[in-house]
Amino acid sequence: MTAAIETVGLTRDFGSLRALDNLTVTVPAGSIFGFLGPNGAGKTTTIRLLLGLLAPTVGQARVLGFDPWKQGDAVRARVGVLLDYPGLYDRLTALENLEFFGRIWHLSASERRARSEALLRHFELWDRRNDPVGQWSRGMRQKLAIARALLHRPALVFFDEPTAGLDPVAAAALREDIARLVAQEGVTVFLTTHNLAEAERLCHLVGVIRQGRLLAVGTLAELRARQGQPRLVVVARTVPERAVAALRAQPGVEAVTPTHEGLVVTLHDSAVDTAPLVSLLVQQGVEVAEVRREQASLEDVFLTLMTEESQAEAQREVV
Amino acid sequence: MVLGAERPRAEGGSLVADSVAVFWKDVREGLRSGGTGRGGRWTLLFILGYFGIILPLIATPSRTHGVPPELATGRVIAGVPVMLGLLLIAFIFPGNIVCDAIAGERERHTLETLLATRLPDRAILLGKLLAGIAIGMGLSVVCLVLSTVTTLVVHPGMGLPVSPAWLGGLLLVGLELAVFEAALASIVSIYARSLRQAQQFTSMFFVVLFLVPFIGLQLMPAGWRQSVVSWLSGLHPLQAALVGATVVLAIDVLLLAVSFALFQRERLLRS
Repeated sequence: MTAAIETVGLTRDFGSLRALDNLTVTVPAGSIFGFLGPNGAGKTTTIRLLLGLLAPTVGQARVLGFDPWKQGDAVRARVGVLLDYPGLYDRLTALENLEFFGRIWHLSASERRARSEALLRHFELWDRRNDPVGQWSRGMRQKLAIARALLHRPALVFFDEPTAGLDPVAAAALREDIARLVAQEGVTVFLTTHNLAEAERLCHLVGVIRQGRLLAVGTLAELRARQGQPRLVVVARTVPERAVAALRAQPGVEAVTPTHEGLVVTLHDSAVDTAPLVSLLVQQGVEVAEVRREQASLEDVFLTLMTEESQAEAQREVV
Repeated sequence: MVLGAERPRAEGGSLVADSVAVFWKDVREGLRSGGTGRGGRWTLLFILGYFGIILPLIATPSRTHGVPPELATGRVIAGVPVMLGLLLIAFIFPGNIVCDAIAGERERHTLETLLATRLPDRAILLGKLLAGIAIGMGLSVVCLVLSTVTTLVVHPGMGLPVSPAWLGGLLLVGLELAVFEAALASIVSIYARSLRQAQQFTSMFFVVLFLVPFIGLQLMPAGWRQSVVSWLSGLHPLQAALVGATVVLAIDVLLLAVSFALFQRERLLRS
């Protein structure tokens, strides 16, 4: 699979502060990469490095096959960007904002008009097209900034907190748009967000960063696997010993732990089919009241990584 | 699909086309600065009204103490406000517009989005400088027309307050001052922490270079002033204008070279 973004040991220092430390990551083309981390973790510095706005102290990066620092113009000609601020010109109208960026991207006058109208209608901003955007609400401005990022149909889009300021309906619609953009058009999305549920819903690949260091990167399944194996929680009034023994003998079952409300069955992995296990319990005479499958959420993974890293950091400071 | 479907890339466009795009945007923003609506327009109207109407109206011989009597009459008195308005506006506005377009944009978080586009650094800077200079010179010409009309109404039958040859020279000097101020403002804005700081520093240069000699002339003893004015009036106008224009042009070239060398993405983001 072609890589849209590839970094090897990417590092950036600001004086004595190391803002990004040895980042090595590959984002496949046509995927959504979620870059998660607390404020000041190094997400914005990474985006600036990938756009060629900052030079790396050490390390290399390729974005759409180009070196961002040496071939920044080529990178920026192919990407769309929504940074942590909408970056709109308040004194200009919505149409003028898009007109300006259309000129930057060398869209023809007719293309600028058509594209601006299509995007403004899509984001339900067409009726306010002639208002100075300084008079708009935060959510409307965010929508316009997203429209601007997509105006020239880029191959790669950097979205920094795209749903910040949007109401729940607009946020859900945007998530659908992003998913469709990737699935139907093969666009690659580099997404930073604090909304872990959003990342869980959208991202094919997730990287977690803290204080400039990449703590983990992988698919959601891979990250969840770090957190522990999936579990089947069985709520039942009584569970005979023979049922526990029978379960333990089943393939795919790692462990069976009786609890006050029933059983917890630890599975080898998330691919294990749990229907035969429930049938077995019923055959063994267990009155099953409820069965639920549990696996770590992205939030669990994120919080665990943050806790582990802060403990490791405390230990490093002691040493 | 509305959102995607990649199009051919727009890479390496001409410097002129890219600068024109920035110019197009910055002229609109510049003319609306001070508010998206009436606030900015009222400020503009006040400045044009003062230099274009009020100053020519109050230019009378009673305000020319110390000036030789042969100079304190007719076209000289009428011409001074016209020249002053043109030069002051050409000098003040480009600096403010360029500060707003660089330091102001950074403050409003629009500069980084602009730097994240395909535009080369020099196209961005050129567009911003041209917008400041164009607005300054445009307003100067409007002020010139206003003050000339006012003078012709106040002194009917006198003819033009400034001869066409002097006018050409004034416009040239005005253009040079506009370039000077725009280039200076761009350098200051690259390092300034805020729009206000950029404008304050740029204004300080304005005070030193423009107002100090002007105010100094007003405050000096009458005898000295008479000597200075006599010396100035004894200079050959064309020679004096050429020497002055060449000196300012050389400073302009130097400031522009420094500005283009300093205006780089990384520096702008780190300042």
